[in-house]
Amino acid sequence: MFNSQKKIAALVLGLVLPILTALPSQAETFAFASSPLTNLDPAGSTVNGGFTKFPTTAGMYMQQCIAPVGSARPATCSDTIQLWVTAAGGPGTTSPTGPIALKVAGSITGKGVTVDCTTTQCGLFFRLDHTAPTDTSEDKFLPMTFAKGATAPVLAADEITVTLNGKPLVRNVPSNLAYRADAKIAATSKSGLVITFTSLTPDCTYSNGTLTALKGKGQCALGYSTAGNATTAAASGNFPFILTPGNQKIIGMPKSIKKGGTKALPLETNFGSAITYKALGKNCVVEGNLVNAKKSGSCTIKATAAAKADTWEALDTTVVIPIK
Amino acid sequence: MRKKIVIVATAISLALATPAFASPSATGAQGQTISVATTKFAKGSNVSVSGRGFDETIGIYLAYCVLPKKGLLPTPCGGGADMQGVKEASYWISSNAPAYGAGLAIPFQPGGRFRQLVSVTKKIGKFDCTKDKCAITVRSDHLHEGDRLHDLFIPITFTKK
Repeated sequence: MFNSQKKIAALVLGLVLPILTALPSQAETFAFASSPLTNLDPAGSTVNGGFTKFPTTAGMYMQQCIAPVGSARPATCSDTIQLWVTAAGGPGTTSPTGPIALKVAGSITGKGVTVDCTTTQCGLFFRLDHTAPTDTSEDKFLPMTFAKGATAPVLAADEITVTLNGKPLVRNVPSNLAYRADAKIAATSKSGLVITFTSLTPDCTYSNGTLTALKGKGQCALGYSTAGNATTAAASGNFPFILTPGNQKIIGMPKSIKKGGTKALPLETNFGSAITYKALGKNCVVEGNLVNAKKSGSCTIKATAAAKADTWEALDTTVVIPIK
Repeated sequence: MRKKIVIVATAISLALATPAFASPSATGAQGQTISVATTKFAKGSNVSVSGRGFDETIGIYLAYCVLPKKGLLPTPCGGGADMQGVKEASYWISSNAPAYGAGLAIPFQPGGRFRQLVSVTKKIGKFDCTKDKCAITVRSDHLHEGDRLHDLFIPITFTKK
């Protein structure tokens, strides 16, 4: 009887342990050393450490999370207890070559879920940042334990909804943003707290609810934060963007031309590239930027403008102007 | 009679050699360009300066300064620091200025473009621009101190009345 109980226990452990100690399919390359992660003060404790090896492929996010199950990433990570570690630098980032200090807590709230880390296994979860969102090769979970005692008062997690031109953004999941594209940012918080935005990278600028990409290649990140209050925890995070080349446009094309009349066409695109025009057909003649309507009907013009590397695409379009 | 013909012919050939649309300009290593309508002045006046092709992630100062020795920061400049952004001696042009630059820095137009009126004067402090070399200048802003890669100069001359 006792032996069979032992066998069952061994079988159960044999099933459970591989799940709790699941490792990523590919071993991580970074090395992180820190102060002990055991018997931490549940009311709040600081983990001090640093990277002795850091990936060259991308930056990393370091978060307090519950233990991951299988090869999946943790289901709940703190909305606020996290660091963005990157050699690229910039506001809101932590350098991988300097000391790392992360304030951890006996309870965490993430995406509206609150977890008591004194009773649920929590730890530090490392992953590559938004520049390599699907690369799990550096995923690693370091378990932490908390001493018995009172946890800090659990504040309600805020629910922040941010949209780009009406489309919801997902935290840590990159969206595309074209050079100089019209990108209106709108945000709401369940708590009603004011949400502050800032561009975390110099290749984008944020002002008065508009995010503007200043380049057509690379990455940007829009950071947000709320101050929190007596009942709601402060919230912060970032939305990454992959920059794409901008679309050139011709602004101010004549809407119509009188038969026999001449009109000037715009010399430059909206980005300042010189436009070359060529009449298609015999209804009109184009010389430089002047179009002369010869016959009734419509004047079809091919317009082209050069691309700028890493900034905008070439323009190659056909414009039809009615001749009245 | 022959003298008149020679003068007229010379005037025509000179006019053809310099296209009517060609403005005095300076171009940087990254293709960024500033241009002005003229570089010759009889007296102090405001000159329209156009820029294009600038890296929009790097802020610049546009100012009228004493031409520095090669590789040195252009200084002194006309008007000093324009903290209110209301004079026409210098401009801070930046699309990603820090919070304190709000309302002071002028953002680039798409394509890294700008157009501003810069005040050109015969004197910059104790320097006499009728004798010393002065220029419309562009340099990286204070957030990129020591960066001389974006320096551009268009020398200005004063003609005798």
